[in-house]
Amino acid sequence: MPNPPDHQIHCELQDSVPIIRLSGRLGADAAQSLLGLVDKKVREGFGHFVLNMREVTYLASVAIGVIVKLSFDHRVKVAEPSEAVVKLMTLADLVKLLDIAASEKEAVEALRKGRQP
Amino acid sequence: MTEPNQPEPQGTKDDLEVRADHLGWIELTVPTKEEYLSRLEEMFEGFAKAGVPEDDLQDIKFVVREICENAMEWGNRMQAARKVHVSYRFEEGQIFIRVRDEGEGFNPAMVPDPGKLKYTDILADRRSRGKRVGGLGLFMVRKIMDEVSFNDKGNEVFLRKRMKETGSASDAGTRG
Repeated sequence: MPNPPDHQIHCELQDSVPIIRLSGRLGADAAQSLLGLVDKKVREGFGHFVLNMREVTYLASVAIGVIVKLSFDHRVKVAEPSEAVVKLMTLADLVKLLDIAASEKEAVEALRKGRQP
Repeated sequence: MTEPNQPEPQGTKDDLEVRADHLGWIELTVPTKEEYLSRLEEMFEGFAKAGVPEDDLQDIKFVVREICENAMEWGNRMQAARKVHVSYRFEEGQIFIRVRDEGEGFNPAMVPDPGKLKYTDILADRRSRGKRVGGLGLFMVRKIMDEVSFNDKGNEVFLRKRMKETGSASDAGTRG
């Protein structure tokens, strides 16, 4: 019997902002899925995203790289990063590249304001 | 700290082989299949029972997974018949780990260092060469471990980490 997935990725729209909620262990497969999901949303016309990482328990280095890449290529707010996320991003010296919001609501609000002329 | 395994052969389960030598090294050998990364992590979970502090355990598991992923992907080129050999040994509050693949080896000096270059530049370079997102694993491993070195061929990495002294973990003694 195959092992149950060790991560989950859900996306929903809130005030026209895609919120991607990540949970569990983000390894290479999860990183690839996240890239695919964001690519799909970009093709739909979105250029900004909230990544809710409150329930992420583990980040492989490739997943860290993907999150940095997304932050580089798009407007990304990382909401509620878990302790594990902050620890590993800090270890990689990359936490400073992330735009972190204390809550999902704050992240959505910031991205919405950013769209206004 | 009690030792996490006795220095006797532990038998086999699935395709994961466990051996021990008279010097106290425990060697885990797995085929090049992603599911064995989790199996290796499960084996290392046993260190918690042996008194390895939780922080150190998380670090060790992260490092072993990163290095073994590299061994499978870049060393063994995901050829299942090729094995990855992970050995470990405790001595005086330190853990020593060796990871060897059956590939051609590589030159670690040629890996761009995110500590010296902008990571976004490294990403752009990898993209231009058709490589997937990456390039952080070895950098992070070097930050976690006290020592990281490679054999001349570049298909075996030696790792050492001094563990935090908490409770019985400080009692780790020389073995073998």
